[in-house]
Amino acid sequence: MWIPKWQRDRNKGVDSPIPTQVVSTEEFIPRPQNEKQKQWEHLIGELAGEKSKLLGMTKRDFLRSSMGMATAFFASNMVYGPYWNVEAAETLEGAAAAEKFPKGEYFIFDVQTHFTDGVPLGFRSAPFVKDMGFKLDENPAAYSFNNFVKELFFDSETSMIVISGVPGREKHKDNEGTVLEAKARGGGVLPSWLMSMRKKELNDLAGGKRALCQGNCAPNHYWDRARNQPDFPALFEQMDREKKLYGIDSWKWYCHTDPGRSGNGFRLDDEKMTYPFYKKSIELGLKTFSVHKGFSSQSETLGHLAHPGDVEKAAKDHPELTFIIYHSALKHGSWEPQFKESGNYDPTTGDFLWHAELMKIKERNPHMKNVYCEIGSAFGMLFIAHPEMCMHLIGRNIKTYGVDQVIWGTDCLWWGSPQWVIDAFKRFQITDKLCEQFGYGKLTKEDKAKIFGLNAAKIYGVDATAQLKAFPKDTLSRLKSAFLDRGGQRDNTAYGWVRAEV
Amino acid sequence: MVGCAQKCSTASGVRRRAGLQSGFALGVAAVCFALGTLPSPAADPPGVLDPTAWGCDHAGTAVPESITGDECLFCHRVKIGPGWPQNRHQSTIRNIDPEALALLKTSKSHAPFAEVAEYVLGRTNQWRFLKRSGAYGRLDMLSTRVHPTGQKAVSPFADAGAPHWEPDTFANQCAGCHSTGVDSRNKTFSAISLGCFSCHGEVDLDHTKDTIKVLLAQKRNDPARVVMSICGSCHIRTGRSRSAALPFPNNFVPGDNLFRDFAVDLSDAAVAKLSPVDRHVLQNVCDVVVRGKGELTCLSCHSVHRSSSSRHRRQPRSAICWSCHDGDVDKLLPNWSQANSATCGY
Repeated sequence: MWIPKWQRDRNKGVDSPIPTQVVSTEEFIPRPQNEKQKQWEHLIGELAGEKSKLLGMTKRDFLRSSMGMATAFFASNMVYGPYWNVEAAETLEGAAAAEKFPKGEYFIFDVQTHFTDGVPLGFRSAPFVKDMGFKLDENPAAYSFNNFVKELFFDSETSMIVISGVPGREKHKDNEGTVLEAKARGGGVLPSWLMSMRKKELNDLAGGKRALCQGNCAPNHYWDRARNQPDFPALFEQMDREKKLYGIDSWKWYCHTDPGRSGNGFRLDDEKMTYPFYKKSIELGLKTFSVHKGFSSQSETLGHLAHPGDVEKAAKDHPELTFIIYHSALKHGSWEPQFKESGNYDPTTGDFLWHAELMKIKERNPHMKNVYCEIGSAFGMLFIAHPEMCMHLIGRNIKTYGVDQVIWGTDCLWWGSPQWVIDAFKRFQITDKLCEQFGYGKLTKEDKAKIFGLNAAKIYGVDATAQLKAFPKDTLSRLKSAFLDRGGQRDNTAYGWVRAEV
Repeated sequence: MVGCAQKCSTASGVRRRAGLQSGFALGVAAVCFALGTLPSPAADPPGVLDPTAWGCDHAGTAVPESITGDECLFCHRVKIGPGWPQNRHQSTIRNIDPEALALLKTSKSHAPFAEVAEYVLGRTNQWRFLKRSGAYGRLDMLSTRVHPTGQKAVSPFADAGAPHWEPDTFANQCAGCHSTGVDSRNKTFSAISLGCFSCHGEVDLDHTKDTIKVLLAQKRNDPARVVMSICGSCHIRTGRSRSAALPFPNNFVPGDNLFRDFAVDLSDAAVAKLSPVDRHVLQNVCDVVVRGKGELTCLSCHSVHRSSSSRHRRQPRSAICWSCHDGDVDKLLPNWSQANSATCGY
């Protein structure tokens, strides 16, 4: 049985700033906590107890502080080895961590964030959220969005976000031929019209540009069954709508899903089916394609279409387009049963299934500059599984694609506040041994700045310098200050799923 | 939307068909006694019902728009997700695997077909190989029935003629129960294998606020005849659509009364001559839709999402037990797992 991670923590009295087991984003099957993770979780609790006592704080408040976060990394080093850049002083002095990792030093642009429309997650935020100026009613979608804003902007250093789509297709017209609007268009859990609406709402509230959004429309969403091909007029009509009316900033594709009941998924390199979409998109001036790859084991018949094998031709044939490959195409979540199967991960080469294929594409095409590796869920998940795996993921991505082509994403709200992933990446470094053995480079602050946000900013045409100047003055920053001044704290809440413990 | 499913299943009462009543009931009793399958005459229901007398059907109409399984699974991972990839309903057609490919390549005449075969239908008794047709919602089926290694002492291809792709066999014989959203008018499907729509029908996304809006939700306690119609739409393998003359229902939408358009011989003689696996299904169907018993349905014994039949051990003994058990629940009939259907050829 699966239960929400926060519920499991509440049941067990666990309060950790970092999930001490992999939390499923619902795209893979969670596995039980292993012995090392249990040890780590126990150490976090024990150290937090001692240190909070020394400081005269409650354990709860301590774990919500930067010292609590440092303690979690410190405990990880005690269990796994000295992988994280953390010193003992940081676990007792907030200023030590603040000095080492000043807030706001990075432009953090998260290209993979989600909330849901009408799907209650069983979590309710603190009452102060109601005072933040959002439209609050009993609509679960609005509720979920408010929570999303809190987790992303108030509880973390995230500067900008892309609201990222999930599988779903909008209906154009009703049976009488009337064009439908907003909710009547349907479109699943997080439709394009809703992403667009919330993007506008958030930017209006902030008084600046804080959010971008994606559109879910994909080549197999409107189908001409007589000709067994995309219904191009309907498809282009929706594309027009998403670009011109919704103002989307990228497409979000799931090749292995079929919300339009076309009878199949689609490939990025399908000349008849997908290339007309590219052509139309170029005409519309929209050149960014965010594509979910990997993490598809639940789809028996279409799951193979989440393989990155179709990226190469599509990218080569369309050098003017940008392809952001989500999850870096990792085939399996690190806690799926298959993750431990022979061949899924090879520590002697650092290869992961499917991710290695994505790497080979670049190796075959060293001049290819329009494919990017997004690390949402992949980085956080592997870091929890084992820091060394995480080093291979980031090391390989940078070594193969270059540091300019690795993109920051977190897959939050599923992971709760993304602050722990942000902290992990700030403290992340590849060991000398792995650098020597595999030819990886050490990550500099400049590298991290690119991955955290500057690379995505280039893709989306965002002036990061100007944005960093504007953020402190916008309403969202002021609301965040008010939130913190009133004692608001980050919740150590992860929204994904874990296995219930018997 | 639950569509008319909910309305239809509750709107019409069950009416008795007087002409059938006496003769049919006597027949039921006689055959059951002859088979030793009836626990006691006292358990016999008072009358015989007309299975067609309630609800509605969608025969000949367009397949309703519905959300697809991938959309459903985005949220339903807590209980459904972990087991779904292995679920038999999800793999009524499965991607061709190395074992099936290797077997196909062992035959010189079949090896060329291995290059294009994409899917396999069938598991233990026989495999049928499939590939996508050029047309929407159609699959071509390889003419050869391939017997998996170990199933027969003879060659897997022993009864094969010259292999060739058949464009209509899947559409005419198999589509209704091996794919989702089948439009009987042009014999096309909208998704390979069975998706959530096959059992839950049209689903309103608003069900996140109240699960009672979804057919077969635990909270609903749907009538037995509705449940049996849904399961029976595929697991009764002796029926034929009156309107489409296909061996599967004509656009059955969960919530419909299957028996309005799907003609099934529900006589005891028909039940008696089935294999044990098929017999227990039809017996249960007869109990519900002919005898009006509502206490036992497929869902009483089978956990569909988890593909488990462990619940069947907790049910009270009934005639259905003796389809597979030999008068004693600890003893199984030698042929208890045998399944063969002239309709399916499986």
